[in-house]
Amino acid sequence: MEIVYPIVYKGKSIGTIKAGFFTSSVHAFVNQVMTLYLGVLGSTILVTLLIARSFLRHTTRPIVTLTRIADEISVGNLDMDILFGKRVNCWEIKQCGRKDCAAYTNTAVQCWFVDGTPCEGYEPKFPQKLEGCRKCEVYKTHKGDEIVQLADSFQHMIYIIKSSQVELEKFHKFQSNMIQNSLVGIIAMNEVGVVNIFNRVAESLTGYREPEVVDRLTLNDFFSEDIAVKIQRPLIYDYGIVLRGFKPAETDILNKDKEPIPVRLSGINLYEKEDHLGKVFFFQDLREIKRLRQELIQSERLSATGQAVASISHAIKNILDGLFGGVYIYKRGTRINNEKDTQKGWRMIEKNIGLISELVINLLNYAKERKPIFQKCDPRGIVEDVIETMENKARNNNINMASEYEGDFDNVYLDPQALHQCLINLVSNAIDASPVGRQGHVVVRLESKNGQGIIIEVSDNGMGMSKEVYDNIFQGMVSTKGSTGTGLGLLVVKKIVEEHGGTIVVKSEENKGSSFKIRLPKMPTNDPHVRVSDTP
Amino acid sequence: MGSLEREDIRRRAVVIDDEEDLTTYLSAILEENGFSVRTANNAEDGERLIREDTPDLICLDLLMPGKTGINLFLRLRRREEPLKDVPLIIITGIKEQINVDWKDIVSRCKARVPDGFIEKPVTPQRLMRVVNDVLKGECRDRVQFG
Repeated sequence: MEIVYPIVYKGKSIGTIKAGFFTSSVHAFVNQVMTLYLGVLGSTILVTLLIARSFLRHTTRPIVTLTRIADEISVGNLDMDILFGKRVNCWEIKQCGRKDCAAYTNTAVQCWFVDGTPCEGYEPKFPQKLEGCRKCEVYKTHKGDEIVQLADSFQHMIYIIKSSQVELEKFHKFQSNMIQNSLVGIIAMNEVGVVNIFNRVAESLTGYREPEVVDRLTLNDFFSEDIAVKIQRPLIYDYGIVLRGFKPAETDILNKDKEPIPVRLSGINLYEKEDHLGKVFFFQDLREIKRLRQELIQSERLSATGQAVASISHAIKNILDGLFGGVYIYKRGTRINNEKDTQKGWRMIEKNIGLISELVINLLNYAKERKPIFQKCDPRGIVEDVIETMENKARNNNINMASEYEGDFDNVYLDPQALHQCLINLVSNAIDASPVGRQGHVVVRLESKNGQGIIIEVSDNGMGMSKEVYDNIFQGMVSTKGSTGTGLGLLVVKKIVEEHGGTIVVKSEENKGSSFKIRLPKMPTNDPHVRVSDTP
Repeated sequence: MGSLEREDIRRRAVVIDDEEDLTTYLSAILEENGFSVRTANNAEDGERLIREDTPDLICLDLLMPGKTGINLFLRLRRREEPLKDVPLIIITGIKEQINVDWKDIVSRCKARVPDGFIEKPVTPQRLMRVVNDVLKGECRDRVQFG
């Protein structure tokens, strides 16, 4: 390569200088420099790559992994093994043998995250215990950088979430169990009235199955309009106070066939602070309770019957004496040809046969649960029948019997057998109460109240009752009749009146007389339990 | 039925029970067996009969309305009562009455125990057996049961 430079003197080019060097040496120099430059660059890049790779391995990848793990956790997958750093088993290092410790053989989480480890001198709970744990040989063995610590924290978090989940599941199961196995029907609805809880009792009472109801049916599918309004009232402001629930009330729930089922219903509104979350209704099948109530009354009656066995057997013994006596005297009469004795004996036999029949019938009536069978009948005929039956007894006791009728008896429905039994018992008692020293009267009065039922009244002018007797006549086996009385007759009357849904009122005055007034309502027309017979 | 009567004197009995049929029955049995019998259907009348003419035998039902039977028994058998030694048989329909701790009643009420018991329903054989044993007086310390 040549460089030509002109020489200029006083503005005139006077010549040129030529300098030259060989390009090959320049080329060689430049090549050298280029090579060096490239080498340095390459090394730098290589080193950088190596550093970057190392960084990637220690930092970015773990973070990516942790991010992926976090994503998994967020979708509910908690079963991942996060191992960053060296796994340490504290029980192997410490050789403590403390099997009671929660960290013993616990590979799910490192021991410094576990609360209540009995290692000496450390705070029991995380994170307070961490400061102490860091001094521990176990921790130091594990020892990791910040990324490892972050991973450890993740592991701890997952451990806590899992434990909470287990607790939550247990609680949920328990609650679900409680709701399903409750003896009470439970229906819960959200704030818009859609059912979200429907337990087994609710299923069996309504006939719906849970899947048919939850998230599908609402309050109006279970309650008629007027009832729905009533039970939703608590939501309405009342004098500025929102009522949270309502007391148990007897009402109806509609079953699958839209039939009303009688239940005892109570309910509450659920609130979270001021937000209305929904309603819960609790109900009991009243049909069952009504049946149990009847059974209880029946069993009380039976147990009273059992208790009364002594009293009844006493009455029976007296009746037997009357029969034996009658036979003895009758036989004596025939033996010595004494007609007075034979008649006397025979009367005794007849009388006591009557007494035992009465006792047995009353006992059976009392012990047996019997629903009235309503028939169209004229009660006046029954009254006349009873008077005729009791004629002998009345005559023997010097009693005058009479009957009185008032009203229209063409359209009367009642249970004739029940009425007959009531009258027999009341009239028999009235005769037994016959006064001493004056003419006795027993009056049976019937009154028909325009098809609204009938009134039956049996009154006498006999001994009457003392206050003590009066207070106890329907309580149990109370009798003023000494040995033969059992008090059963009146208990039967009370039972029959109750079965008819009627009432009985007793008035009495000592030495003046008594009256028993029974009101029988007209036959209920819409009661499905009422039996009506067409045959007279 | 054996008759223990002497020809000229019939023994006298008083039967007290609120059940008329029973007094009729017992009366018939006792009459067949040589007694002359007076009956009463309440304690008041019975006591009157006993006091106006002391009988040789009293048959008494304890279970009469109110506590009249029991009270009459206690009155007739108390220590100061001259009639306490008249043989007395209790007519009873309830077995428990027989098992009552009479010794306790005697000590508390200071009354003589009954001489005998006859349990209902009554049969002529049983009644007369008790009556005869009581009147024999052989076992006055022991109560006769029938």
